[in-house]
Amino acid sequence: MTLRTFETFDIGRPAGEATETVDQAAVDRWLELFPEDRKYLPTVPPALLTATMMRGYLGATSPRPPGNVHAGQYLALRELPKIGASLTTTVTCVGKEIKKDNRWIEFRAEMRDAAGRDILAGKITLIWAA
Amino acid sequence: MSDALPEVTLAVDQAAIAKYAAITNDFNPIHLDADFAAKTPMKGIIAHGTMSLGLLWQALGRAFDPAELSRLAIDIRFVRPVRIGDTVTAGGRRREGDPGVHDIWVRNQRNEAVIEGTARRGQ
Repeated sequence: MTLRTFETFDIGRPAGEATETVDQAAVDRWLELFPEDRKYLPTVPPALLTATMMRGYLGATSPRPPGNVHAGQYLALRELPKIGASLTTTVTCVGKEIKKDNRWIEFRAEMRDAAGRDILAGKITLIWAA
Repeated sequence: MSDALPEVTLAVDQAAIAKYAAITNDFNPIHLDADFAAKTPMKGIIAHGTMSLGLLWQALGRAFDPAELSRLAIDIRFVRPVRIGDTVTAGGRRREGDPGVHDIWVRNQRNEAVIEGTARRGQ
């Protein structure tokens, strides 16, 4: 597969999509780090939903050069899905520029459930490594 | 509701970073490989930014119920890396004159900002 370098992304074009299921095993691992999130069960805790969106973004933009830096994040939560829901994150490049020798890139990430309901909308801003 | 968000703290060690890497499937060597990370502009291992963002969700979750959280928009910048051995604290304060907005942050043990941004309700 072609390495997803800065040049391979075009503004306005979908970069990819990936589907994740947050199962009980994933929730159990999450609660080891953030036990207070138990209060959200049986829905997916908001922070784990964010982490799941990041898994989706990573899956949609692989293979990536190592060393990318996450610079900013926008998130708009719509709904907390139930554990076990199938969640698809669609990633679109919405901006890129070179500033002070850094490759800045912005992705829109939209997470929906299997019924097409909006779950979480986001923008991810990164300094791309190559 | 109080103007200040309840603060939440996390001690960051390699084990926590490794756990977070497994949860997110983000094995970027900048988070896990000391030799690789030393050669990057970060000059060493840094924790995943969204792990500190997860801490912010904890603080927001102590202040807002799930229905309110589902109408929340968060807009943040990662302003400083988090290193192994850091202790980070998430918090925020309702903005004066703009009751639908909280200025939110994560700070390290030196009271330096790690994350800065806003949480806006009713989006």
